[in-house]
Amino acid sequence: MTMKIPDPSVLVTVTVNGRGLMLPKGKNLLQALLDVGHYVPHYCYQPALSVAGNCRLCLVEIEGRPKPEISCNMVVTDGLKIRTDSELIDDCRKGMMEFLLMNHPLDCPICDRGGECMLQRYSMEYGWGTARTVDARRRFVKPQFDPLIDIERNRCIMCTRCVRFCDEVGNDHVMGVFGHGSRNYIGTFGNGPVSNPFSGNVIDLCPVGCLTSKPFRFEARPWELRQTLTTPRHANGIVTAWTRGGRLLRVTPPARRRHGLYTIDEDTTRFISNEVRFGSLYTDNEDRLLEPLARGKDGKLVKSEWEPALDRAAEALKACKPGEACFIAGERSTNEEFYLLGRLARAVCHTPYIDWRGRFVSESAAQAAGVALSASDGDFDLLDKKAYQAMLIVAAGDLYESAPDISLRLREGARLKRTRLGLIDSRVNPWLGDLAETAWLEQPEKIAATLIALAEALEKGKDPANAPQGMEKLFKFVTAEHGLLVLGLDSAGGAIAPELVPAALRILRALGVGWHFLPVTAARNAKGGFVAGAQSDRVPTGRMIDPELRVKADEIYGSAIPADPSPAAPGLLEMAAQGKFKVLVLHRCDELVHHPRRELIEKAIAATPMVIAIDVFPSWITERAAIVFPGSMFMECDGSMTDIDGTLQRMSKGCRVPGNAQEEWRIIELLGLKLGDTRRSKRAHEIFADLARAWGRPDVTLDSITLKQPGPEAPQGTHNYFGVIKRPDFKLHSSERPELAIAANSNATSGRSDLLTLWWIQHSQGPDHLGSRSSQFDALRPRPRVELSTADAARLGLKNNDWVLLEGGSEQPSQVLVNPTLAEGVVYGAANVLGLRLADGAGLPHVNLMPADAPAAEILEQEATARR
Amino acid sequence: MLIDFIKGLAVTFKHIWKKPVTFNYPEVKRPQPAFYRGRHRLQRYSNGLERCVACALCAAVCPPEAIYLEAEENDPKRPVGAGERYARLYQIHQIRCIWCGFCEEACPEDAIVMGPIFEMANYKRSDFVCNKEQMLDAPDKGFGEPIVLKVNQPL
Ligand code: SF4
Ligand code: SF4
Ligand code: SF4
Ligand code: SF4
Ligand code: FES
Repeated sequence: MTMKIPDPSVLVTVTVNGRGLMLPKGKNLLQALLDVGHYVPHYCYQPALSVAGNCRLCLVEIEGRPKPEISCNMVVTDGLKIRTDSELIDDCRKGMMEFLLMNHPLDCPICDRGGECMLQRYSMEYGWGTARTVDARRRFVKPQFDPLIDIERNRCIMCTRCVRFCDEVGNDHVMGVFGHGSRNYIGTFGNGPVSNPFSGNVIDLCPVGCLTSKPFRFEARPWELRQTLTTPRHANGIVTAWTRGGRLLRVTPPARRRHGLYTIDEDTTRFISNEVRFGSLYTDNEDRLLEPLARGKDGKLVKSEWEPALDRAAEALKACKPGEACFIAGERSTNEEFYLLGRLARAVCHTPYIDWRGRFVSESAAQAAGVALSASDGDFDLLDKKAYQAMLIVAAGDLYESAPDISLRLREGARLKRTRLGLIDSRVNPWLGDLAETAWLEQPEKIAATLIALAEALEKGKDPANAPQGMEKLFKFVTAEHGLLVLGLDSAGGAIAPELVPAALRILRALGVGWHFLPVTAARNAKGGFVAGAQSDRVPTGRMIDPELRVKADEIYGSAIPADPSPAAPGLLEMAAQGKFKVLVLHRCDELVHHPRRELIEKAIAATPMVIAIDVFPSWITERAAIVFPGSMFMECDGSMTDIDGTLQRMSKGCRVPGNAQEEWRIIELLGLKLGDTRRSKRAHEIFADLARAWGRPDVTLDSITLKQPGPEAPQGTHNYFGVIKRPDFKLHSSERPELAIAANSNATSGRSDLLTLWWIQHSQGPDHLGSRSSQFDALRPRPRVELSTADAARLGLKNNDWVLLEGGSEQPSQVLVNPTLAEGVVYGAANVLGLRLADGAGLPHVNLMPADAPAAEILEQEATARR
Repeated sequence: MLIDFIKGLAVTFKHIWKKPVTFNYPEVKRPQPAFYRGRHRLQRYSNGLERCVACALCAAVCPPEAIYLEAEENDPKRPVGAGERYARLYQIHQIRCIWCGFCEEACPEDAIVMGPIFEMANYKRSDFVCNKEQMLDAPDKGFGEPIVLKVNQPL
């Protein structure tokens, strides 16, 4: 089933315009030419999509063949002789351009693509310069299309890139070509919106101004914008942030400069989700905190200056005895912030209590996540064919909703046929499932048991005869020599992680050295928290803190690390709720704002005399804090993030921090200075240098991980121009696969048949503290919905669109969706959409489904629709 | 030497009887040729709609970057301009402007032209930022019909 991948090491001679070029044998001819910098105009070819061959612009003349042929549908063969500059080819291109422009409205002054349009560019370079048509041009009505994508069909050139994207990457097959002949047009089936969470990419893929971005509509011309290659704070992915006058106007995949203009459409191979593209525009939200706030004598939060606010915070921290202060770093902090917070806590405030794992609902889940991260190895490329032949994704299918960018990266390898895909999950997402060779549907409580059964069989040997009953296919799948085990850590807030992680480690040992391990979580900078030392039991080398290290931590912090047990964030919050701390520092804790265990967090804040929050937006947490420091947006600060596979991503400053706000690392340092620390950096680079030294790679600097802008002379179409480097010392922990017995939750499998197990996620488009601040997201907001398996729906007498109440979970009614690929006895929903509340974090929550009435607003809306 | 002196006086006397080349400014103003590059004007169509579609080509071509504009979608029910978009904000900084006339040449819609006004003294520097309202022609001074493309492909 795997496609034959050409071996790029075999080079053959191809004569191009009389000049010999060495090109990799078997590679796509057009791509090979682009790679060596020989530009051939093309519209429909896109390196990440299949070949359609319908624009006919990439024609080349081939010696020995009567007619010119399209280079995008040819492979490099030995002795090929082609011409790309002959008169015939010029003529062909002119003819094609004339046809493409025959019905084109030519309203470039109005068109949003003007300035970065391939049609403009090619008609300047290869076109006629004049129009010979006299008849009226074809003109369509403007349809209702998508809330975020604007369509202007008259400008379409029928390259079908958008259609292929929805078929291949989005996998929702909603777009298509309709009509016939010169009247054909692009649209969606059923005239609905483009529904996949990556739909925004069709905007970049469209080479002309047919599909344009609604939020960006008429905002600016591309040449007026400033590009910053950076990475967002709220989701994974490397992007170009386009700003004008300090305002972020759009976010796209990395743009490259060519012919004096930035283009994004041609060689994007790493697509970004709508969460990144449109969610990043939360920067426009005017609610933003711009001044430090401090609680006055009357108990009200009032604006303050930096000095008095810092003084008060420092005073409170100074008054703490060792171990009386607690630091919780949000999962969206940069590596530098994690490092500085770790340092501030341990070396300056002498408290061992610092952690980033607030996302998880229970202490055991957070600890299991820490164990999984320590056992992962980062020396593989998710798209590299040689690294692994099989990818087994366990309990991570829901990342499609909670972190679509990670999910997309996991799927790309299978889509490009570089690896085979196997799934073990409680809910098989068709988006992944369609590509999977084998999928194993299992109730959440039993996933760990499935892994253990597989492991036991594998321990006996890879002989197919050892396969457990009924698991033959799965067993055959995991007997691949090289593979990647992807383990989802945070479904249901990590409720099953305590059993899942030891099971995964066991199966990994059974699988042998050829298999890599990649724990994934929607927590943005989880790996950063781990490697930068913002974890209760780790220092910035990622090393476990042992007694020996506690005393000789001088190299890292210049001070010993206080000895104490190491609870993770949920444990810390519980300690805080019991009034154990005098000061609680919450650094960008977005994940706590919509946390299902809000009660606990409220208690922790109420029980601590001094709560210091660093954040960009007001929330119920900042409202209850005593001091609030205003932070910066992602394009206003420097730093680095660590991706799930350990690659470093550069977050770079594109504009100044407005108002009285400051970059977070500066706030932490200022606080440190007040407390007697001597550390004062001019730039984030200095902090990164310290971090790099701790990692044993002093040669790596923040600028060396800067995404390099390839110039026009850079080889075209190479996909590794991101300039990211692998985190150097991952090898260090890959051997560390401890045999950890984390207390299994005995009440996880309660076996009560009337109750359903609630398998929940945090939806990336639901009310989430950062992304949801983007007003552009309103149209994408998911509706309160729960999924049920067919059998359960039949048993409970529920059908699609019925309203139910989750008794014991949430007070908000939600609609039923019957999902045939959901395990029996499970109800699936998004916690932040449903407003889920959990009293404790022990095990998986169980709920009772009660029929409910549709909410009033919903009824009114339905009536309004009926009247229309 | 005396001869040179008389020669010079002769020239003076000759000019005493000629019509003066100077004007009695500000009472009398010098007539401007049609191509005079004075303060910019923004033209309209004969139906009163603004010609400018806020394409920003004038701003792109302007050597000292004297033009700043922000576009907005035109509401077809209460149109401001003839196109799909119009300039919500259009400013020319007259101290920056070098009166080169490039903007006029770049404009695809014949919207911006340079007019006959040359008196632009002001007391404050900020007053030299000329707004759209100051530059727009009177609504009845428009010319030409906007091109309206008819939908000919009902779906
Ligand atoms: S798609 Fe390109 S050529 Fe067509 S109107 Fe827009 S900018 Fe001009
Ligand atoms: S809408 Fe754009 S991407 Fe889609 S077929 Fe038309 S030109 Fe191509
Ligand atoms: S006349 Fe020249 S300098 Fe003045 S606004 Fe126009 S382009 Fe700019
Ligand atoms: S004045 Fe002309 S060139 Fe300038 S934005 Fe308006 S239409 Fe474009
Ligand atoms: S790129 Fe080859 S036909 Fe379109």
